[in-house]
Amino acid sequence: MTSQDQTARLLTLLPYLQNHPGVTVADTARTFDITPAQLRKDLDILWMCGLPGGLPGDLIEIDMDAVEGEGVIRLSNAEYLSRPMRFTLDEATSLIIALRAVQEVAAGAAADAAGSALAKLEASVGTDEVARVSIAVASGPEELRQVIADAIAQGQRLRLDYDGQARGESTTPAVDPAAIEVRDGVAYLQAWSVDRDDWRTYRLDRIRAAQPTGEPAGRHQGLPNLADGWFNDLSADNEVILELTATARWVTEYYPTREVWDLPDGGAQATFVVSDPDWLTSFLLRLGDGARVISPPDAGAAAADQALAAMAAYRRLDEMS
Amino acid sequence: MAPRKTERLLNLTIALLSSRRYLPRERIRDMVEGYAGLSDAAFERAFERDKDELRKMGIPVETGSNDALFDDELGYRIVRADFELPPVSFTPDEVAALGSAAQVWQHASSAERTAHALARLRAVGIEPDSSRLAALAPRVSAPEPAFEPLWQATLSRTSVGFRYRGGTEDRVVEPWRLTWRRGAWYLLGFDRGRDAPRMFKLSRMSTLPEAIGAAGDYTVPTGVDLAELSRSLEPSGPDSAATVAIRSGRAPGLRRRGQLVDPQPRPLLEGYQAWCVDYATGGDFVAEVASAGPDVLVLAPESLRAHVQAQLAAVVARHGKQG
Repeated sequence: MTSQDQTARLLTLLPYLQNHPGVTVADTARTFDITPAQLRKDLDILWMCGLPGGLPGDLIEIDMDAVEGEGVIRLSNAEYLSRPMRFTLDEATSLIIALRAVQEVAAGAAADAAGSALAKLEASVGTDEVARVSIAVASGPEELRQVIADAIAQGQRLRLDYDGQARGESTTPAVDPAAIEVRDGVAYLQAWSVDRDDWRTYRLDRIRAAQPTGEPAGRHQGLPNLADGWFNDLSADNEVILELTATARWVTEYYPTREVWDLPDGGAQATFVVSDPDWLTSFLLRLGDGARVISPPDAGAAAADQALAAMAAYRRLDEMS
Repeated sequence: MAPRKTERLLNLTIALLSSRRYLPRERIRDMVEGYAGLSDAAFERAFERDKDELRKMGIPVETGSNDALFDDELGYRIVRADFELPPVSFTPDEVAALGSAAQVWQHASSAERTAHALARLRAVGIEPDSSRLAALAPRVSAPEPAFEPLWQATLSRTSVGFRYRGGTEDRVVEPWRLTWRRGAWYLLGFDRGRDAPRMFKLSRMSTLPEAIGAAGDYTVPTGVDLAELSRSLEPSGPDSAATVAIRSGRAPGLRRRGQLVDPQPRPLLEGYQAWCVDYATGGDFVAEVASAGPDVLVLAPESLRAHVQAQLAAVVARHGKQG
């Protein structure tokens, strides 16, 4: 930690402690994402600081007995720093982008609230400057998100009209919706699939319609933790290792991988997590000669069979004409 | 000595913030604990460095003179109105949205910057709570190594140089805007070599962008709709139409984009229907059709059909038993 980082934190800590009299050491450390030991070091510095003059009345006062004893912080004599610094452009832009992402997946009152909070933050920065970073999320129409948000809030079961990509066909699963998440620029519904009896993710922009079935949603445990990343509930059995040419390497940025190693020719070897064998088949067909299977050795067999079947269909077409 | 340095920076901030008048250097040297006992040269070095560090933190240290007629005696101050977070208030729903925002960034530095901004709000008693909108979990990631240098360059308006798509030409670009779509970051900027705006995909930059020149050395044109320009520089939209045979109920994405051919051509394989679908030549339509295997067959144009068949043959060669 540099002195700059610490000074910046102290300039926020000072108003925080004055606006939260008697707050605990533990809560404060958690809020600032530092250890209690680091917080004590911060406090040691604070009570050596104050107005110029160096007389006892000029220094910031902290009840150190209360810090050591009850574990609470009482700080005074620092009224000149009772408000934090303005946001830096860096910080404001980061927060604004995060809030835009929330706005893009929210619906109804929550979307409105994200929008009005954004307007307040943007006003604090200046409109020219906030335009320097932007995001777009494929999240489908807001009406659909509203139906899903209402169903989550009210515990309703939904019937989806869904364009499944991997199997290449439309399905109408009954689901108990749990959460909307965004990964790699695409919004997904996380829901319990009644038919499959397990958690599933559905791309919002492939849900054509969602209707409450009239039944209440069931109670389900173990919603995969969103913050832990993709498919973390799957075992290593579903890993496929592919060697990608330089021109196909981009797929490692778009599809969930566990590991990627660079190869000297600009290509890469990557471990993909496969939740559905049909997805892998369609993926290998898409990549053509850009991918070679490393393991398991027979992982490409279904793709080759499908390619042969397609070539046979073309021959039959030719014979008919 | 880090604690003493922090102490000095904080005391300097408080001194400059508490003075309405510009404080001359000698006065600062006397007032601020930590400068006492330094030689003239050591004080000059320490003060210059401290002042720069405060400015880097975003603290507006102003230079000026108290007397317009005698401007030889320069001093320093921090104007409270420029320093302090102006009064803000948020409704409970807005606070809940801010709480969700805390979880969005998957990029470490951006997550930290967001946390700092939210800590400032907490300092004035606004308590963003991430549990209220727990069902909303948008995530924004930025694994591209070029992201952080370009973020800094774009916000500070600093020109950058980098190589693109493995080329040997050094591209010099004035960054106008960073955009995230479909999970990838793009830079829109003025390419000095091409003398025109260009869009770059961060993951295709083959060297790490390096700052060229000073911050703020160009202006982002006003009156240019950056959002519109970003869209116009994206890969082009459909420019051709294909006729494809789709097996019933399959490839819903293609069917949704296309139109059923009426009347249906004869003869056609049983269980298939002919659809007309627009596509962009040079895009990834060949890969999209190939990915459907025997469910989607190209009827026309012939060149597209040949490309798809070549790709299918490549898949057999790669993954077939004899391959």
